[in-house]
Amino acid sequence: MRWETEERPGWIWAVWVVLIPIACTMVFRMLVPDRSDYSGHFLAGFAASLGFIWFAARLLDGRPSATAAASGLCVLFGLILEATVFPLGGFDALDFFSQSAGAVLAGLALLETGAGDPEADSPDGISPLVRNGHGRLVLAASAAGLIAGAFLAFA
Amino acid sequence: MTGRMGPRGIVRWLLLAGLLLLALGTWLTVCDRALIRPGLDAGVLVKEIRTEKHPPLDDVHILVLEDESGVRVERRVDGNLFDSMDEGDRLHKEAWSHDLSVSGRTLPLRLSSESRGTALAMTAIAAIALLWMLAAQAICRRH
Repeated sequence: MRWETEERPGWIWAVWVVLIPIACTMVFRMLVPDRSDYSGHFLAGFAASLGFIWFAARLLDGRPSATAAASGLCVLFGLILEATVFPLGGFDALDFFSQSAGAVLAGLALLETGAGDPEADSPDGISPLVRNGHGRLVLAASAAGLIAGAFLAFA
Repeated sequence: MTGRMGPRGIVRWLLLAGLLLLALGTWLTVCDRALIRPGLDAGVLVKEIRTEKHPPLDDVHILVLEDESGVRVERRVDGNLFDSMDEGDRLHKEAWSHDLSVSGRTLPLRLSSESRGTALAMTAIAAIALLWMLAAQAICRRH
């Protein structure tokens, strides 16, 4: 099952993968200035999921069902982490909802930008990891977001 | 554009529905922590503060409540609410009422600025995703 191919200007990628998460994190910081951990959970959830879902999308040729399933797995993994590794004062549902929103938004961003769709590849691509020309941006955004999210959550 | 929604369209709306559900869950959780959502008829058995990464900013405030039949429930509540009651107090309210009776005195319930901000932020994330998705689709169609 393939998805409908449509022409997408390249910069739409950057907005979904970089500007939207930054805008959402800033909204979080403005509305909850005293609790940077919530925005940190959101950003870290987005960034970690972005890398994982993109990898799953690459492996499975960008099938929408694969993107949805990978997003669900990220939410589930976040639930397990929140319940077992990070429950300092008990399970915090708001931490879980925040990181899950990041995971679902990452899935939506990759779905909307055609991650893993071979027909969206640039002709000069070589490696399966970066051949659609957006892999480098995704991996860089994922690593930077994870670092920034962890800083916000724990600093 | 075809009239029938393809697999991508279905997943798109599924993920957006997920964002909206998470925002709804956040609103319900903050209403729980402000004790606005539950109906109560119980006594405060134990008050407990659990510390996290940045005490006292992110302290977890726990009330252990016991009803008439001896059933005990642990509830996480907002810090200001926690401070306005003592062990042994009797709590009574209807579900979704904004008035809590604490051993006879009435305490008005409201969301803390932190809770309201968190729920608004989650709603804003869903709205940003929806608006940009529609805008990006319009841009793609024109391209």
